[in-house]
Amino acid sequence: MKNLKKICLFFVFTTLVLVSSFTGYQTVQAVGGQGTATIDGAANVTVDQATSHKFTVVLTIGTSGITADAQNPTFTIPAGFTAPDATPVANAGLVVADGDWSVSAAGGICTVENPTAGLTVAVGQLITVDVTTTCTVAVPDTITLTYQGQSASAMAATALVIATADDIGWGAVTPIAAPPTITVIATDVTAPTVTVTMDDAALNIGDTSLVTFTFSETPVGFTTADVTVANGSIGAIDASNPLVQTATYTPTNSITDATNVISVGTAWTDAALNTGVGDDSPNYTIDTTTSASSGGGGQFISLVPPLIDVVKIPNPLSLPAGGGPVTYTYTLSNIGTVPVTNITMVGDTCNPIALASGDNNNNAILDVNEIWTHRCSTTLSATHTNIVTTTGWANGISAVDIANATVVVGLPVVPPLIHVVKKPNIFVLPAPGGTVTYTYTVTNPGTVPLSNVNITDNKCTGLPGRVLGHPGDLNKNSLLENNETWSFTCQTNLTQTTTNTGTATGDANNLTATDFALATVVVNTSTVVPSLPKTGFPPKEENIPIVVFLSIFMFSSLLCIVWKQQNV
Amino acid sequence: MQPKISLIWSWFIVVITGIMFYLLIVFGIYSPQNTPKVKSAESINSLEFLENIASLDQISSGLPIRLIIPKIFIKANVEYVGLTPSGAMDVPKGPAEVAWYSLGTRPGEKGNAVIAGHSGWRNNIPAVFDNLHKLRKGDKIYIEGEKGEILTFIVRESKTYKPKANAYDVFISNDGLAHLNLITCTGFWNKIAKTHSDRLVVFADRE
Repeated sequence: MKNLKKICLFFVFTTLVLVSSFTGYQTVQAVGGQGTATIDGAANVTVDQATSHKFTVVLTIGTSGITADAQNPTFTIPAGFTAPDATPVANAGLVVADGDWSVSAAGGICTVENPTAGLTVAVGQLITVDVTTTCTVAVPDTITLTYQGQSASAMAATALVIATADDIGWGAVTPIAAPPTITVIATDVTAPTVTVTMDDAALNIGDTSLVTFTFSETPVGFTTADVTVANGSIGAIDASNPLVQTATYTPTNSITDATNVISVGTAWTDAALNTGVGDDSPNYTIDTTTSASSGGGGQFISLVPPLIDVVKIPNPLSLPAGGGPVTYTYTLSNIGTVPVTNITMVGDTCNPIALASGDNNNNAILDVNEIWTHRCSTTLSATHTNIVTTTGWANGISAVDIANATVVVGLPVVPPLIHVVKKPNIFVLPAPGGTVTYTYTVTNPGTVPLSNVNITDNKCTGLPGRVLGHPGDLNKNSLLENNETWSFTCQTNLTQTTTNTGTATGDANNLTATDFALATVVVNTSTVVPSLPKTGFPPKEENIPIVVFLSIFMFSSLLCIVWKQQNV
Repeated sequence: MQPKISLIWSWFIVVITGIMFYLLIVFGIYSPQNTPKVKSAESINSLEFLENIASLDQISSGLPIRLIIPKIFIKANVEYVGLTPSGAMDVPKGPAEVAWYSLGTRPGEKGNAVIAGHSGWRNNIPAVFDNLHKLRKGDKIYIEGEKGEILTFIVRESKTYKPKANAYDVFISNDGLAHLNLITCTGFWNKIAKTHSDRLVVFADRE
């Protein structure tokens, strides 16, 4: 019994913790006994970001024979705390977040009686803690109450204010004269990370690539010595933006290597001296060799294919009162990297398609980023879907885009329009080929929202087909509206020059809009470096002798005639 | 009789001299209208041109429109050419123009932009690159772009190549810099091959 008296003290705690901006407080109350319950100061409150958000409050029991109980202390989730789901809870009477409470005593056994967990709170939300722990401890003893989160959320520095020892009749509890302020300094124990990317994944003769190092936080001591490159060299690092630093990579001449990466090591830190986490760039290929051509006396170089895009908009979109004139406007863009020549636009039912503007230098070449506008007018007597096929050429390779547009005649129905742009991340792959990532950008150039949006590609299988829950769906209504852009990517491996067709469809008013996007990626397509040109004609000496000969002959004949006459 | 013979002799001299002048004109040894259509010495005031150059911004490259070389009085329009069926770089249609290899690098971009011009023409009409061999290291070459921009190149060196020599260095560079290389024919005329024995290439670097 003696031991029991000494040992068996039951404390019921209420916990507190967390608070920001000096707004929260907690109370600890003695229950059924005498003594003092105090909350130790700042030294006993810690935040540990190493494993997760973790808050620890230590209560020191200075006198035996007291019990502490919770009084539903309130606190505010500090700014910087990121719960897995920041949706405010309806029941604010319980705790909190995604972690668990635990309690321990140096000399006894504690249990957590109400470790409510799994709820979520919003940052800044005022909530009430109701955690009760029961400990059997020696006196004096130290009891530690800990909230251990389960996610590695970042925790900003904040301050806790704790008011404690409020005797409300349960016994002689000595209140703390003034609420102690406990300052929590969140220690940055998060390792900085870096992501390495390159803007050219297939380096050929004369190519360089911009290498981008994107850091999670400002690095300290990051230099070119931290960068290991394969088959080339890295230039000076531009750190004008410390979080996004860049450098130029130049491949070694006369090599072919399909497997290369640029690596960042770990010999750098963040400001808190946490060791950096390195990264490898995606694989890139190098072909800086030349191979003899079969003729022509030169070497092979790869040629870049063209890429164009056409958007077609009819005006009006519908003729509810019956047939009438319609003007189609075609917007033609060069979205590739080489000028496109010999542009032709062929409409199935509307001709002629006339260039209205855009060729500012009048060179009939669709330059990179140049936008041409064509128009064509016709008269429709029935609902009709017009198709225009546009073709252009560069480096002996064609680019094609097909655009559709429906005009409804005789019904008060607005037809849908859809537009898809497809771009490969690379236009030329060295042999034997490699990975290409296509980006598809789907928009609605019409006026009615599109449902059942569908995106496919005939030679790339990574697209979703029917699109559901796209992040570009701003109002989350599963409709593609004309202020929204839905983007997709699809990755495939090419071993030969490939032209594939992306198809986007969308429905509205019981009509389906369709658009196509074609793109060509060249694999090891090559042509000869030309032989030197033949720029000369026979030199002047080739022509002069004829005249000189004739002149000498005639002059000699003349002299002979004169000489003979003088001798007659 | 002696005066009569002298009169006939003089008459023959005049007639023959006239015929010779006629032949000279026909065969183009002297032809006033055959002055080159290139903007040659007479049409370029070098100082005035250089002052104009200095007043223009050296901006990024567009498509080349004109080649200007004050040192040898060239101001020639630029044609765009590709390959001949035999795999050689094509050439300009006339003596006054130059041809840019449009399947290669644009002047001002990283790499070797290549421009060819004739040296010699039918009937001895002067051609644009007749005096290309006179360029020396440090001479300036200008390219006028489609938007009026002027790019300046400095001659680095000249080399001669055989017609079927490896032209890799002429068309390709991988030093990350912008170059302009000018090509024309040089050497002796090969009657069998109907071409000159060599090609002269002037290598220039962007200023």
